[in-house]
Amino acid sequence: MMTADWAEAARVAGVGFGVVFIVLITLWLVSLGLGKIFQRWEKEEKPEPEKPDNKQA
Amino acid sequence: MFGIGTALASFTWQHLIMLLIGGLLIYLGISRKWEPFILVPLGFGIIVGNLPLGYGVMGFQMPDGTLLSYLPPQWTELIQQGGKPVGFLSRIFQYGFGWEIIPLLMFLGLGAMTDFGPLIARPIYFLLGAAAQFGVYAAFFLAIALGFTIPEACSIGIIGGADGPTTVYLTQILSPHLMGFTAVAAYTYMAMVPLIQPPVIKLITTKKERAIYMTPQLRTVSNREKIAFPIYVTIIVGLLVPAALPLIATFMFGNLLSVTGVTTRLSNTLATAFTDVITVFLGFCVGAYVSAASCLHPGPLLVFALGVAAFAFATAGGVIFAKLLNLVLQPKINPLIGAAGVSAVPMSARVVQRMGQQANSRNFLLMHAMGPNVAGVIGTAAAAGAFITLLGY
Repeated sequence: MMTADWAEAARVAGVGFGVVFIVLITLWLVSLGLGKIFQRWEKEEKPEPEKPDNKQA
Repeated sequence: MFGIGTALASFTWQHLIMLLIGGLLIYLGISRKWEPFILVPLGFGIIVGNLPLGYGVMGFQMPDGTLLSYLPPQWTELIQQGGKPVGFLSRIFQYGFGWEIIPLLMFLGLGAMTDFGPLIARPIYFLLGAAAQFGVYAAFFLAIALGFTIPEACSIGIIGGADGPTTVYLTQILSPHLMGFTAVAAYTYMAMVPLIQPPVIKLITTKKERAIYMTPQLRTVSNREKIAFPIYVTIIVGLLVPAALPLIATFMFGNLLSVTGVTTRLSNTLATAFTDVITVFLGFCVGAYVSAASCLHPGPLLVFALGVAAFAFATAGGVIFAKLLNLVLQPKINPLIGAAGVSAVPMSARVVQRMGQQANSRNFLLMHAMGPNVAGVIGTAAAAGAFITLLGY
């Protein structure tokens, strides 16, 4: 154990916490965007529900 | 005869204390069922590693030829000066931990067990996982104030991430002499989540807030999304924090194998036998590393106190951030789920579920809590990677 270097500690903690937020905010936005794309994709791929055939009815 | 007299003559009160600590961990694992898969091997490792003259277990030959029955905290430097491990566990320790392999293999298995579905369904939970990392930095400053060096403070702070393998991985890189203590603290406190979190949560939330109702169902996540998730998370984290890549890559690779639908046999093995083998070696080796010679000093013992503080601050960080999010979110989220951002999968999610139901019997928060829970694992890995990069290791 030794005397604290508060300036260096503040740099490590500040930049470190900032990096964590940047990484997770990026993942949030990318996941949000990709989620919407995937959902639209799935929706387009789903077959249209069959319409009742009037002639047969 | 047979060394009995010599071993007994070398037995000190410090050894006795360590044997009692080992016994206590085994008791907690078996009787209280606190993380038994880790605490039982840890406890037994502590007992085995603290028997005098047990050179064959954790023995180390010093550069001058002297034999020690324990692995000295400065073993990495001593190896460079000609020292060498001579026990079966100290050799496993040298390669498994010195080369940072075992924590990463553990992550491979954990990835195979993790379901990212709730996080993919509601990605805003990433932010709660980030906020809960506040505990890491609060404990970091506390450790600095108590006189620890910056690398030591990083290893202590990361306990707040409630992620055992990441704690072991980071400590081995930044301050290997603290590894036994940070690992024991991380795994013990993970088991104590049901005791540590509720009072902190109650202190900073009202019953009305805890009773906020959330619909239990999240949107259905397609298999394509589940396959894409580990791939793009690895790429993004790898580009932003390359030092976190070993942790994230193994975690996400394990997860990818579990969602492809065609590698089920591999993921099943990773999630069962493979993880069990790694867990045994992790617990046994780290336990044996916690020697009386290096443990019973005020400095290392402070790690345990700071570990509790780290958990408490992490819980508070997640809950307070969830309350802040409620200022802009509609419908509001239950702030309890912020507490699950401390990882500790799935214990903290279970705590949230229980407390949520106590406040409002209609609430079923488990699936919501699993989102911040797994986001916290990614957040802690990013925090560890940032520490490694910032300190230039």
